[in-house]
Amino acid sequence: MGQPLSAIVCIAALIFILPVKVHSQTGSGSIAIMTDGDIDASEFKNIKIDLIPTPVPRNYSTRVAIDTSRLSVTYRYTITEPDSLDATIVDMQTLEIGDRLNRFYSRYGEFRDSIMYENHLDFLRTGNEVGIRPDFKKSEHPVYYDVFTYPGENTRLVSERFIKTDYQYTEEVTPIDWQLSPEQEVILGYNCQRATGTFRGREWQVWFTYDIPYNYGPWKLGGLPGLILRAEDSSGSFVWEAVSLIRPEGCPIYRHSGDVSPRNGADRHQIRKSSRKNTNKMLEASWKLPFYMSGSSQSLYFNDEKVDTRSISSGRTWYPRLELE
Amino acid sequence: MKRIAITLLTILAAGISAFSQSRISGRVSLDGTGEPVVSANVIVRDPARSAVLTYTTTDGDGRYVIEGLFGADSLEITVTAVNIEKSTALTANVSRTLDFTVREKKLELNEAVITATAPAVRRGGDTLTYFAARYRDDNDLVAEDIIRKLPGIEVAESGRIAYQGKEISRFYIEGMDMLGKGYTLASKNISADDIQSIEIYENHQHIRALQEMSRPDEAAMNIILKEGARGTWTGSLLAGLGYSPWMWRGEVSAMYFGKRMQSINTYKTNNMGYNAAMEFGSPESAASIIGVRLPTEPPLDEDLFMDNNIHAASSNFLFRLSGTAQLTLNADYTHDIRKSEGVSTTVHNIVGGMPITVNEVTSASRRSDRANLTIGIENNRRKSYINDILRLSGELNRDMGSVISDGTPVSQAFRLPSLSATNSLHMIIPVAGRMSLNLLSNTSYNYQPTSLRVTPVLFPDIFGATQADEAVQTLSSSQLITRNSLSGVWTRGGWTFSIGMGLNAHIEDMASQLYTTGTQAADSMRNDIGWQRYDLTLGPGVSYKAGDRLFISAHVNADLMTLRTRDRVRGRKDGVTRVIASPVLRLNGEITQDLKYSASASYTEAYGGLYDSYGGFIMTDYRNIATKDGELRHTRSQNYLASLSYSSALNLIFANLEASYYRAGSNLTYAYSYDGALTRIESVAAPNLSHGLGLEAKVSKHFLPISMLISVGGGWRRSWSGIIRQGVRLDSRSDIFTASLGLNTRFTRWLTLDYSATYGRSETAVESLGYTDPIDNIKQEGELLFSFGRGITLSVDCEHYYNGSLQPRHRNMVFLGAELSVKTRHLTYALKGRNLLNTASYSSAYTSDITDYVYSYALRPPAVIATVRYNF
Repeated sequence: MGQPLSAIVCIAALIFILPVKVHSQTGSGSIAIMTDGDIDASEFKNIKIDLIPTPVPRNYSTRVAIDTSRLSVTYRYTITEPDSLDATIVDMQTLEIGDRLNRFYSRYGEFRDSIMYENHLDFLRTGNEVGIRPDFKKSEHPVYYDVFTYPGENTRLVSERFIKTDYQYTEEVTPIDWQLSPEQEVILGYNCQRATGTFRGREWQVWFTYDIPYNYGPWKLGGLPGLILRAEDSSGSFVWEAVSLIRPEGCPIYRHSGDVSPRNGADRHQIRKSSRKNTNKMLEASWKLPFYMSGSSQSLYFNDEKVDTRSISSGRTWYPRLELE
Repeated sequence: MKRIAITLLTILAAGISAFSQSRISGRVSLDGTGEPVVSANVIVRDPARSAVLTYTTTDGDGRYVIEGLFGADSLEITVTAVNIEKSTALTANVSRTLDFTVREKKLELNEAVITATAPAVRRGGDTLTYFAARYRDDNDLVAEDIIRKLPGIEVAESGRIAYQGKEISRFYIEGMDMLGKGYTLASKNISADDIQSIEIYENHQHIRALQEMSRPDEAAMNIILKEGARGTWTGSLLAGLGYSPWMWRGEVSAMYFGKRMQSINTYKTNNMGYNAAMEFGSPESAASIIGVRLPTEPPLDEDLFMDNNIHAASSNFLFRLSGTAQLTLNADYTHDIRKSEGVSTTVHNIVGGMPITVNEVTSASRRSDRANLTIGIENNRRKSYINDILRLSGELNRDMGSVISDGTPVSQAFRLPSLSATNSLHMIIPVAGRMSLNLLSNTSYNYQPTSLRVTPVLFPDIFGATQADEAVQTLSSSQLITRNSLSGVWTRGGWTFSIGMGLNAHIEDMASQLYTTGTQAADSMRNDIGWQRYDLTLGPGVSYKAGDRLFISAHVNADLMTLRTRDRVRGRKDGVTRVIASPVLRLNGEITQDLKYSASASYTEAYGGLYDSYGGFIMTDYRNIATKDGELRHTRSQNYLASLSYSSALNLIFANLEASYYRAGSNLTYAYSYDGALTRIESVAAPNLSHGLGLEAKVSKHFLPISMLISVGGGWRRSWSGIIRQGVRLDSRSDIFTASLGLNTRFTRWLTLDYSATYGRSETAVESLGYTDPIDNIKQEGELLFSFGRGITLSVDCEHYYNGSLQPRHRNMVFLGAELSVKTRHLTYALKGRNLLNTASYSSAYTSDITDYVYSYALRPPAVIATVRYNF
């Protein structure tokens, strides 16, 4: 092409942001798109994402022991989307009952955090390429939602993790008005009785056993004269079912502190004060805008125009909202 | 009477006592000490059944109160708490006080565990993992469709995959990298049904020897296939037919993924406007400074305007030689014939003279044959790394062009053969713990003997008196370029130090002749140049990272450059030895978790290359002729960039603000002279300064309740430069202002709407000419997508272009297209309509300094295309 013409074309591209066929510029992190009839831009927007938003693993080294566990109850937690036969998420969640407080947390989450941390230590120490990665089955997925209950003060501290930060808030433990029913069932070898109650907009059906005199249960459910071994909400979306009951000998109950380990430099563990309303908004955003919640800014150059992909929705209208009010 | 009354009373009493309101209260205390038992459970049961009727807990004083309407004669009250022995009392269903004395006891429980299989662990090595769940969406056809959906992933239309804004560094299939940079061949062909999961390795460092010390800001992707897709041949077949005119499309691909060998083979052909070679490493032909005049391509989707006839085939193999070594072989061949047609008018507004207008009706066809062969070998061991890739390419491009220039038909024939061989070597040698040496060596050789023939000779006065009717420009270049560098990096705390040394050589020979048939080229029309440039570089760098708050890096590249040129025609020899320093400073970090900043500043000096200093005229196309005789070009430039970005997870607002400034000074200016249709470019020793300013802002917000995303943006850019036109030095200034609006909503689960509009205004001011009329242009794009479920989707898209400086009837252009696709288990059917409103051509206009340019490109006619794809 003639020199002046190519100069004109280059200036034209600048003026009208025309998509000149430029090959990708390496090093600057930008990508120029060459339009190709093969793949339709519309397919890019027809997204129905089945992905579960997953936060970055916690920095396992900053755990602090705050109590001793007297009883450890592990529940299988399943979240099932409406109109779906299979569970969307299956997690193992443990309620550790201590002397002063209880902690309810995701076992898969701790497992994942510890493996990733070991990975990282090994890597720093030996340069060992061999790393391990927890291999969860199809729908097994940690749900990073910690609840610390302080029965003495009647309060609880809730910690929900998004991206790489734990958002925390404290609230009062409000009593649930349970209606007892005569039905009984044996769960985990214990005689359990059914009770129903409404908590923050959802109707919960639980089975508790007074043979275990702890007034606690999974998540924020409790206040019955015995341990809740199964809980289900009326829509069937959320189910906790106890699968193990152990009396650990002197095992501590941990809390993740916000300290940043200077060794690895990465502050994968920030704690921020938040509120119940805000964490619910973030939960909604992470299910509906999965691109955004992956954490950092994304730029995609589409015909030399910058497009922010962070706000492309996943097509989900439902998200696992435990509290409707 | 009395007896009846008593009976009645008794019955009544009995009745009342059957459901009597009882209030039972009392105190629970410890045996021995009498201390109250706080928060003990007090349970009321019907002794006939074990179910709890009601319950309460003891208060701070150990007291409890139970009130209720119970339908039993007697009640069982049980007190339980941790660390006390369960205590039960049987009482009549009457109001009374009931105290308990309990003994301490350790809780006895039957421990019960239901064992579930513990998750297995697998070897890998990454910091963040996203797993692709099994698909419920039937619309996914190839790997790329799944990859698009992973959070943080964007897939460009070309197929390039980026994670968090950066293109992925590696694309693995079952942990092996067969295709290198040509991975789109896999992502566009591997069937979605064969994929079990897709993994993203953040901060991926493929090179094992470097894993201890570097956490690159790059990601890699790995496709894991299902059992059934491994160790067997899988593939797909596609056939398509369209009208008008009659068009075809055919594709076949066969893939194999085994433990020791992987292979992807494809053959694609069509004349529908799809560039089937897009997936190969080099989708376009070689470039040259001379050529046939081509109409300016419109900014639309290629299949709306590209008239092609392409056959493209590729074959790729990967052999795993050992746990760490692999051999890759890639070969591809493309044969393509592309035709284009357009009309343009160029007006040069001469200062103090009559404007010069050139009207052209252009048509061209390019026939290209390209073949590439790549062989690569890699040994990725923990202690060392070596990777060598040899690439051989050959191509032959033959262009024919015909222009009717102001009524005179001109035909051109261009031949561009090109042969090249490139070798890239990358080696890593670890040295003592936290340091490693990185050796990169890239050597390439390229030979391009091109020739351009133009008939008739439009500007005979250039050649002296001549009767010939054909002008010939030959340009033959051969170049050998080698770049070698050795660098070392070591880190301590948050500091990283690096030092790099490089040795580069660029040796080029260019010979060109411009003559009319039957004559010899005059010396002023000839070049025979030997060009050699050697660089010895030394580049120290330092960077510091303080958590997420601050990252700062400084790097200086010192270059000892020796340049030797020899102009054999004019008998000149030139040599220059200089030291050039190019510092770069970068800064980025977080002010708060939501607000991030970044800034950079750099200074560079550049010396011209061979094509900036040739002495004899070269006819670059039928009406452009240039010479760069003169001093060696030397440019100094500074660049500054600063940006601020805000993103709030709670409010779902994202905002970005960016400011930039550049300043470049050169020791010479290219002077353009217009002589009728002919443009002549010459290098003038006049210092030239250009600078520019830019400001850009964008805000977007997502409204979750109505599933709508709105984004608004705007920008302004101003640049100043000095130009020489018709021998007069002028100052030119240009202003560009843009505003944009975007909307994306998902009305329901099955309907999506996307809309975007961009407005731009550009204005040029040239000294002595005043301001040009500003050019307004608007582009709007809208798309509706219906997903009916069961694998049926319908999309309708519409584009509108407006350019205010065109003739009224050409100002607006609208394009309409639609596609219906149905996917079943093995087959996908698609019916597509494009350019349904029969828009015949795309037109646009713009101004740069003193030249106005209006062009129009002929588009493909409206067409309906049906395709069927079968996956096996």
